Amino acid sequence: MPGLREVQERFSANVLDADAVGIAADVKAGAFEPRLRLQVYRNNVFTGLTDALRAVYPVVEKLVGEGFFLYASNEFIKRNPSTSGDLHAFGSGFGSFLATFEPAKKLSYLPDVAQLEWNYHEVYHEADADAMDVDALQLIAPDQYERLQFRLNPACRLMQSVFPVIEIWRVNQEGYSGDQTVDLDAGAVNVLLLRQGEEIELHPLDAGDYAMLAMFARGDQLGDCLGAAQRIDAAFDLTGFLSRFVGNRALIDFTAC
Amino acid sequence: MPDREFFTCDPIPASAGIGLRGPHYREVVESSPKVGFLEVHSENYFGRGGVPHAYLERIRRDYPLSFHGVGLSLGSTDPLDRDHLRRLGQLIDAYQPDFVSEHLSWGSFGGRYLNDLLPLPYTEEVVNHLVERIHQVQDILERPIMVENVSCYLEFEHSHLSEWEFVASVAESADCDLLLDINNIYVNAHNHGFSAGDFLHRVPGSRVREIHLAGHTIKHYDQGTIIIDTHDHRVCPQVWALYREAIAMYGPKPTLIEWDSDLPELDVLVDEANIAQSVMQETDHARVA
Amino acid sequence: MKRRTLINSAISGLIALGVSGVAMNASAAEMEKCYGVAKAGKNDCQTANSSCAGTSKADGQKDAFVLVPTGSCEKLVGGNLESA
Repeated sequence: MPGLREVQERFSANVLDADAVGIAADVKAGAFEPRLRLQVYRNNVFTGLTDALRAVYPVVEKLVGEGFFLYASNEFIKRNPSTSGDLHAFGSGFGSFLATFEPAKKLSYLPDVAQLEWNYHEVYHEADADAMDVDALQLIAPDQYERLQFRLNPACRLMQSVFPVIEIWRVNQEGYSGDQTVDLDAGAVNVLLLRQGEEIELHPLDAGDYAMLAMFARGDQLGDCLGAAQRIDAAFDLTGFLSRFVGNRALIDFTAC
Repeated sequence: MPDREFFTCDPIPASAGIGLRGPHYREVVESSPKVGFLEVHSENYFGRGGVPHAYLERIRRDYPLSFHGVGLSLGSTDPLDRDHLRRLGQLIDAYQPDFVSEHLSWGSFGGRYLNDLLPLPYTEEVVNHLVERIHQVQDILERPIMVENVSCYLEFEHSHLSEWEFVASVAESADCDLLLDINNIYVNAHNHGFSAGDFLHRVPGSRVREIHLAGHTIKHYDQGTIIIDTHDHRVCPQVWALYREAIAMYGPKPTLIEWDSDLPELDVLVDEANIAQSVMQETDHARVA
Repeated sequence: MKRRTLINSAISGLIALGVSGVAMNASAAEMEKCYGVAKAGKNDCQTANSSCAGTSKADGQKDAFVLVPTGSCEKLVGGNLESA
């Protein structure tokens, strides 16, 4: 009589691969052969995981079509196991998978679109944050300002793409009825995804703003961040930057060190 | 997520409730449907904030709540996922649900999750394993959990207990309450050829703390039919009849209408809940009379 | 130092605006907005067993697959898509 661990090992191998040395011999046949009974589980497992991917990556699915998405997601599921009982955690590597997925090779923008959608999914479930208490800055001595570290809203993500991913995303939203044509040569884009309550915003950023936020995200100090932004854009406007990104809650806190 | 112990734990009455699903959030807030309680899948709130928590926090003010887990993989032989339990514990602290439940199934092996409710052999070994795992979970969460019978599409050759013996034995040995899914009993009775009525009579009624009802799909094959537990239809007449029988035996119990795919308008769920409510009232009157 | 002066004036500006003044500056920028519609929780799939169980569509059989993208990707033009 097989022990429980052995049953689970063979069952899971068989669900993932119908031809695996399997559990069929341990399954009662009745009117239906064990192979068919196991197929019910195989379908449920693959459909459940595919539906989870489909929910995170609607734009990727729209771009490649349903049949191709199914093909790609099946291959992804086999190579990138789910490692959590929470399906919201499944699918983070889909963009990198698509980058190496031979049939999708010509769609070189697809991994970045997937990354945008994964970021969107994470921002959707991230912690909420209050606006920065700017009055508390009065407690900081001005000679400490250069060493301020600003903290980003947990419900935000930064990314860069050489493709116009915001535009690709926009024209492939459900309910969009305009022209879906996008010029892939329209240029690189820096993106800030930011959730405000129930709304998720996609901000295109210029290089200076992006550099500042990316450095704050790493924990760099204000003086160093400004130096980097000025090397990119000599006329970088720090006053405008702070009032915009404190104002929209991309920056929510600071520490003085 | 709300602060710890913002809510008090109000008990779930012996009434009909519905599963709270994302697409109905706004309507539930706006129309406050008259149902006895709401149940959610715990894992849908494992994120730290955003829309799901914003709504659950508002809705929790008006309804008693039940957390129903789908991803703990209680019956797996892998170690219990401590991170999963930590997040579940935080949710329980934040929302103070009256019920917390999981399934008598497994879903992972070797760290790989299949994210499905997979069947277990009905043996002493598995009973003992589940009892140990239920105790571990209860120790970590510092509260009791209920366990639910699942629908299944195959049986193992070496199972030597019937499903009801298995379920009853787990509940008695672990000293825990049961979430009895009557649709799952019906599905399994069809798929594996036993009497659903016998099942109802053989499980310890005093341990039944909650009942689940759902719709299913009949799949036709050359060899016959298999019923799949799809949670995408109204409850069928045969399952309503079994429910009536169960309530006559056990008395009124908190009863949940589960609906997960092809989600209908909220009204349809409330209508199903009203049917369950009236079955409880009629049957209870008959018992008293 | 120029950098220190810039920083001092930017932080002083922030303090002068105060919490409510800063919030007024938030919404002017160019962006895409999307209401975070109340999406279905993905974990609902774990209990809802697929009604396409037993069909070839979901179980990894190759005949149901399309090996060439067929969606709106054809609307994306330009870009040197051939790998070098």
